[in-house]
Amino acid sequence: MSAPLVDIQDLKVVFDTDDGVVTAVDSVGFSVMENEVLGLVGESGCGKSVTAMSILSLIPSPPGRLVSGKVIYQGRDLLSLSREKLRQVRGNRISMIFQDPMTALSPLHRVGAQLAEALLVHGRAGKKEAMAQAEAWLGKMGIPDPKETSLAYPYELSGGMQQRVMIAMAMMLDPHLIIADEPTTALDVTTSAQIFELLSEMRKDKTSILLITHDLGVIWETCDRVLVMYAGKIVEQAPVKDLFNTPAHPYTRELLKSMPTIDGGELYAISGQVPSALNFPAGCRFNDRCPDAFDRCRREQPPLMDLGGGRRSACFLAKEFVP
Amino acid sequence: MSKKPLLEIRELKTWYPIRRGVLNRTRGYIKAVDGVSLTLEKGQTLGLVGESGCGKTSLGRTLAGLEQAREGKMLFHGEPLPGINRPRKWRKRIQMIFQDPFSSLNPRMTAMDIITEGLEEHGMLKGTREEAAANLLSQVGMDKEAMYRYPHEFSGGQRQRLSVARAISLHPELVVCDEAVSALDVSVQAQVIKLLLRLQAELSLSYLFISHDLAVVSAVAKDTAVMYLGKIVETGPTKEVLNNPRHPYTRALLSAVPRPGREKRERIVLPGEPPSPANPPPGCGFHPRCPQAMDVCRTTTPAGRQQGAGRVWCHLYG
Repeated sequence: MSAPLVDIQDLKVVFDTDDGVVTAVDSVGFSVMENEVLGLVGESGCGKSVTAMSILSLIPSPPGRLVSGKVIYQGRDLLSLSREKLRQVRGNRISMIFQDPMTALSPLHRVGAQLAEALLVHGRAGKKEAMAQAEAWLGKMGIPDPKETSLAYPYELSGGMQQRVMIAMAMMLDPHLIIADEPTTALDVTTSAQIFELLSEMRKDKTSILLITHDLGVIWETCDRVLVMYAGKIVEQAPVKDLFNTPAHPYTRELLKSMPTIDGGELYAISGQVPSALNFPAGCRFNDRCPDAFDRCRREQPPLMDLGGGRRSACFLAKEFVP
Repeated sequence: MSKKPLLEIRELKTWYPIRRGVLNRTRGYIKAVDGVSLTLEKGQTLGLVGESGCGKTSLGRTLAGLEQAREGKMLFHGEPLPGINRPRKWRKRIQMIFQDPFSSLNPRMTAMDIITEGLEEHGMLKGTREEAAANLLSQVGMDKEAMYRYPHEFSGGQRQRLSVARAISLHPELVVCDEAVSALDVSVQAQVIKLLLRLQAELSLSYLFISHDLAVVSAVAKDTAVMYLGKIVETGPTKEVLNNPRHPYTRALLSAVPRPGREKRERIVLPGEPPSPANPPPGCGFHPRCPQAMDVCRTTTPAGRQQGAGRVWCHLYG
């Protein structure tokens, strides 16, 4: 880990809906370092996927709208690039793995041809060479009989195999950053173990990964650093061990407590529900569910404060939680 | 034990015919459940874990009377349990909660209609529908105002609460929970699990708790059965199965589960994928992926053997 690879600054994305303007991502800022796996964790609707999609300007507009923000990569702001310039980055330098490979792959094209297309579009290889490379990559992904598989349509492959094809597609252009949005959520545990083995292999090639997930277990296993999002905001940032040992935000702490573990024990449930993005509570957005909330939390929104040691927390009491 | 267990199934087989061609002839079978024996005592929870396609859902659906078993016995309090299209008096005794709270509730019915339909249908409605709905909603921790709303107006967790209310409305003895909390976020999941545990204590319900998530099963089930390719490979007290797994498949499954806070350990990564249940391999169904497979595993199906407080179907314990 060294210099920042991608720097996201003050990102704010809203959606215009019939019920009003929904703020999905509110003043989010963070950096992805070189050669690290950064986790972005949170529950449905917290804005983690919108954050990830915004990096490559993949938010459909309308209804989505970028209100503010910059994504600095190699000295340029990706959010102000022309379509043409952006296309040179997408897939090529920063690529993405989506949750559901069945909808992300084209159902009408053979997987080998889909992989080869990525190489052709970015001018990395001629037609023959591209097909050969596509096959080679399928082999690297641990797919038995890559030649046969490259001629298969996505529906002929299992979920795990499809996700391997997606990963091959994301990897084969040798990107600097892979954004993986819930890459194993649709898969079984033993299959996702295979996929994570693959992803950790990829790290050795000095690729950074931004891993979006709702699963704290996955975060523990794969990430170097973690960002926790709640209701459109980053509430905590920490190296992975610190996050699990001494969470510096009550939401993180409650979330960790409510995770069932194999070791059994009494299960804990956070009271209340995630607030609607149309109607966030005043002050801290977690205040109505927080056991530690006091008057100030209901009036003022706590800023994301630096705690040193690579840690940040958006809680007035953060310093008391961290020794 | 003198009293008969709540549920006992023996050598249960649920096969789906594969039909092909213009004549729609049966060309083979998908052996989704292929000889399963299990016991569940009243007021207890049996966890059933396994990966997609292992047959755990088919087993649950067969118990609920939604699929027809081909062979084998299902005994409920010692009486034979009828299969599909079972008589009305049997239906209310076993209810089911499904995984997807988006597709398991009729979008055109109000919450009240959804949760009281069964009562009306079975002639068990005492008083008005409003009263019954209010009562059920309070049991699952929801506001009674919710009864006039439609499924799309609820969050995933609340919808799953409605599914629970619908399932308990007929005072069932057994509830089959098929991945009932798998689609929910961690914090919501914990709330729904707590609800299920509270209702179990209040109504002395029994659960067959089907899940791919070992951690969730350990939170709810006293006993656990592990299923692979249509067969049970290991059963026993949940603590024992999870802390001291004996079958190589259970071990691999456990090693694939992340355990936050623990030092990262070696995963047992299984090669390949589960074979097709239409054409299971000879011998032990797990042998093509098993790191400890021996010659005998390729030819002979292992019999169940008592090991500690549980049973395991594996030649390593022969």
